[in-house]
Amino acid sequence: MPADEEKAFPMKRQEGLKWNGWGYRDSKFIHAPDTDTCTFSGNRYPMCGISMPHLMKWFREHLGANTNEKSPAKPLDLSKIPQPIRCPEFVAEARQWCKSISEDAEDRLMHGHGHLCEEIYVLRNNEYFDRIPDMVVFPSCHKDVEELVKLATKYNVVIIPMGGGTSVSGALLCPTEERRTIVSMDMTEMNRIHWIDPENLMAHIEAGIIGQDLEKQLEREGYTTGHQPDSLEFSSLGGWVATRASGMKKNIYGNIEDMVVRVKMVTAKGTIEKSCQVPRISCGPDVHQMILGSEGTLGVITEVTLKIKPLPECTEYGSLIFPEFDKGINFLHEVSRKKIYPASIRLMDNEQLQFGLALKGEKSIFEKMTDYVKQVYITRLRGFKQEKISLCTVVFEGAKDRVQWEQKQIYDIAAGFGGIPAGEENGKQGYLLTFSIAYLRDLGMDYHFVAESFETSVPWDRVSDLIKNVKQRIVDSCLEQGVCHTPYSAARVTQCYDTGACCYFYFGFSSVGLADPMAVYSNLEQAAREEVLANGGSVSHHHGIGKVRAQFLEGTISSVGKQALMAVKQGLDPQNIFGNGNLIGVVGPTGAIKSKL
Amino acid sequence: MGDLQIYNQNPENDEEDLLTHGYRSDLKWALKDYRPPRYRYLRYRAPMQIKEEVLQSNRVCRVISMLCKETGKSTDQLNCEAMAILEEMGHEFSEGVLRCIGGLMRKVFKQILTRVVIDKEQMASLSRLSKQSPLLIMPNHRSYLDFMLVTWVLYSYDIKTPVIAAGQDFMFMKGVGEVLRRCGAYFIRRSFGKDKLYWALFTEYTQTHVINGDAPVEFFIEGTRSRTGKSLQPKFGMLTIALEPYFDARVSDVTICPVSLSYERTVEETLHVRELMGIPKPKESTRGLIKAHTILNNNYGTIYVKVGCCLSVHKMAQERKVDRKVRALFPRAVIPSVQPHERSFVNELAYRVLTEQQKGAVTFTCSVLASVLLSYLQRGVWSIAVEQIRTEVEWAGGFLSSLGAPTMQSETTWLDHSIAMLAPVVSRVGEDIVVDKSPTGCEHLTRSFKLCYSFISLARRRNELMHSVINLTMIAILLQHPKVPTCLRGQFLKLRQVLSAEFIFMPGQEESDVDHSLATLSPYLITSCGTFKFPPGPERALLCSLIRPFLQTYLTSWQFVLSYLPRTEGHGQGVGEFCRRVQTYLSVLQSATEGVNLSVIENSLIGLSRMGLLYISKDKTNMYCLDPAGISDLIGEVALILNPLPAKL
Repeated sequence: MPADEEKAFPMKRQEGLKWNGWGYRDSKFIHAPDTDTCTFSGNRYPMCGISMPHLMKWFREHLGANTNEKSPAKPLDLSKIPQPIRCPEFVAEARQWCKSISEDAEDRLMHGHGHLCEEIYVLRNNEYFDRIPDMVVFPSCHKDVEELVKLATKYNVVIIPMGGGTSVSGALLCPTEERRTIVSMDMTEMNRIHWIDPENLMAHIEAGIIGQDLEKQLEREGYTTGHQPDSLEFSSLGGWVATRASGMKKNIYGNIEDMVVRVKMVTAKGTIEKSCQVPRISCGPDVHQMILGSEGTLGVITEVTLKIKPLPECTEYGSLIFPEFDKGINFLHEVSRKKIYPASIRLMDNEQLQFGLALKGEKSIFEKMTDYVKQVYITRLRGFKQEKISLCTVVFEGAKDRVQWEQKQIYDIAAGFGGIPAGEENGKQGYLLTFSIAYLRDLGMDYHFVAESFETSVPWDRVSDLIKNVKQRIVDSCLEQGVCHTPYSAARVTQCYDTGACCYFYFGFSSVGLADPMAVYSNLEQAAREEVLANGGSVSHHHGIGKVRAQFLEGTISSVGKQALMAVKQGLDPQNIFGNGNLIGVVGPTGAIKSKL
Repeated sequence: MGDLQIYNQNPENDEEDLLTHGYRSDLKWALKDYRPPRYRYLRYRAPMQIKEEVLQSNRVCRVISMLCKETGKSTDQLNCEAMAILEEMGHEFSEGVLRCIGGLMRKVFKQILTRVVIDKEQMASLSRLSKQSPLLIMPNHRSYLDFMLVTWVLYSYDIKTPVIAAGQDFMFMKGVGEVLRRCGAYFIRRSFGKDKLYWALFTEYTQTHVINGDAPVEFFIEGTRSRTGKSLQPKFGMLTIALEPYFDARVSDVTICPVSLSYERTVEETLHVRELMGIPKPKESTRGLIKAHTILNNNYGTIYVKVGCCLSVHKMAQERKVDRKVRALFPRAVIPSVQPHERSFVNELAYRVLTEQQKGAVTFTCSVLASVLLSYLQRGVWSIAVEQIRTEVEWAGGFLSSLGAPTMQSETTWLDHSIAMLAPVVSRVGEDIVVDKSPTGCEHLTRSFKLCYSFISLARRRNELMHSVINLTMIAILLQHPKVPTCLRGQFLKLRQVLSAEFIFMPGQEESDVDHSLATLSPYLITSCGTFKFPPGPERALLCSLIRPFLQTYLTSWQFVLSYLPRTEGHGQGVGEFCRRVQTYLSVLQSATEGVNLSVIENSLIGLSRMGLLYISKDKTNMYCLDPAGISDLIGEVALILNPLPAKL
């Protein structure tokens, strides 16, 4: 089943995607200074073409942005890109297995980073990175990968696997001390669905396939994986497995670890895989669990057998307004106690809600929402306060009668916590916005605004305190470091589990007057993560460890736990071929001569 | 270390007198606009609602269900008991009452005080901080007035007035207790030992205020009013309770505001002197308060209210690597006990608060006057020429402030004013300043006790400046020895141990304190080859005269320990009883000294016990020698420090 249709982005990805920002080149927020309105360019998203008159005003008033003072991105300057460390023997032999090999500077740059705030900042400011891959290879099948890895061990070169490149953990950054040739293995040419099994509801897929391509192809056959992370448009199947990704609709379809039936990973010692594809197995510790979340430190994931589901009979959206955030949290807790999980249920705090309102266009559905909100608290006299309310959005999916039953249950439970239904449109809008929102950071960065998000998971009894404390910590840390305006600090609960929830934080601050905005940013992230941990939260729910959170790994899994991971690494990869330095840091040789300082 | 710099660089510019500030009419003042900023996560609750939430809290529910099993009482019955305790404990804050009392206080203050000096800028910062995080307001405790003074000041500056943890003694004052309750005071039994229900209720009641930020929580790190004019050793219990919400990650930070209240003269001066001499304190009663209306006819000078460096608990905890994750493994329903690293953190913090309070304290000229007079009294001179005193106090004031004691600049009339502040013990008779050998109020005492009264009264005032020079006095007395001490540091540390119950020494700062003191004294020292000499002169004499009385009393007390205390457990003596014996001995033997001060005698014993030479049981009813030889050696050492020639008692 070859991929004959258009891919999410071409092999030379900079032709379709921005080289220094999020997403498609043709899609971005554009500010017209004369009318002070914003529009979204292109025609890919529902938001396109709508003019947003309130956005910049909100930016100024709530975030202290100065929309007259721009900080535009600098143009690409290839002369600043570090010279490659070549390994001609490897290249010569690799050409036998891999037609597509690139040593082009732009390609190298595109493969040397993810989408962490710091990474984008570096690109926009023409500073670039001290170390980027020296070449990019594009294998087209499992065999290619096996042979390339063999060559890598033969010539002692480093392989860093890469999928969609949407990492927000620094996982794609090259260790600066690495002196060997670094090969970025771009997996996106491996994008075929080998087979679909309608009987057992499984599909066998190459790991380089991009989420939206996978879904499009499955949809044509009447199926879906149901895995829907916010990065769906650009992230790859292999990336999901390597980072333990989570999808919006995990309540029905599960997180990636629940969907994987079988997985192949090429390591420096050969391919690791199971010889059967069964629903469950008792055969010692599960090697799949070692592969899930390995973040490219042990090998390259080449093929995955995934569970699939027939397309749902119906999908319904809904929304609820709560008088305050805590009431909403209690509602979610009750929902999970009763285990009536709709496909997705999310709760945004007031700051997020207000921000959503700022995004409304003239014809926007958000306007109707405010009207509805006003109406609600005028007619019902519930004493809802505009500055306290929080919005819960829900997706119901499945058979019609099941969906109806769920809707009734959810609205009944909500009533007990003072929640009022706020219409289908609000719910729908909330989810559709998800994809275009990611473009906002680039707009902010045009105006000295630094923004990032992070997530965690935490037991129910600490959700409320954690969110309150972390939001406050973000504000305190910014002000302490001389940020001149109260920063944006918002949160939402995005996933419910039996024992806890996943919380997502958004923050942003104006970098005007700061000597080193990235130092402020990284102190801020550190302080926020420490607060998360002190509040009983996890180091990450689905973004992974990468490099930015590696310092918290040992504290999370104990030093013995870390030793166990290191032992696996040593055993599978003594040469440190997969030397991206994620998770446990750089383990093994790097080819660097230790400097005698 | 975790400072929020809210100090203005030159505070003088921002100081203002609260008595003349704003509205002229007290009534208008009481009716003024009062809309304090709120803590950003505040959820408004009425006093009754707070109590109900405490009753429903995890902590209290757990204790009640445990007591159900232990005592066989029903849950309802225990709930009733708990509610009764809460009713007895809880505040009934009412803004109306606060306004009335506020107005009344202003009226009274105008009558009895010259000025109440506040730093505007500090208040503005406090107001900002009160929005950001829960506040703990921690004043020093010198007078009953403290309870209402901070509240009154905060009301004046539109800052949310605190809830105040108060001892129950007040509650029994008819009317007054209720009024205080409505101004935000809540009452804690002085001792509730193992009463688990009470402990849970009191803990939860305090913590719920911190977590929800209903109001700043005010309490006194010294636990009780200091009668001696010096800071008392810190108490850790209340601070631990108040910080537990932070350790538990219920709040992301807590801000501690050390407040220094400096009274030029406290209203309960006489009472405190009597207490120090062991004349029992009358029980707090409303009648007593009314009887005290004579207070209204006196002038008590100026009060300075200073907010010290506000401390961010989070920042300090980070520096000290306090690990909050440990607690995160306990579900909210289970309350973990205080961890050892939290305990040591609280201890350090408590000392920090005390030092901040001391830094903010203002030294009045009358304290300098008292110190100078005492040095005369020590030589048996009770009457001195005015001009002589004037020159000496002016010199001493200048000298002390050059050493870092923040003495107030005084007007030309300072001498008369200071004499008034020391009345009735000191008075001016013609061209002489006379210390009364038998001041009013102690007619029924024996002659020697009467003399002591003046001593102690002046010593109290001198003590108010001791905190800023204590390390210097120790250096001075060590350097007065003609033979240059070979191990100055070692002796300094020893002396510090000896005096550890008497003064506040920041643990862990011994070395830097020595260095700092030597640097401060360097203009008066002769340094050669790393050794120091303090040549005789008025500077050395003054510094030595400040510390000598303490050490003298210690020596006597220790001699007494050696002669009269048993060496075995069986026949131990109570601390109180023993102190009284020492006191009697001193008053008879040495006719007049400040040694009859019971507090100093007790501190001499605590110092010994901290050095492991003496055993004192927790309830202070039993005490015996652990190491008589050690005590004997110590006596020798200290005697040598006091008198270059070995003294024999």
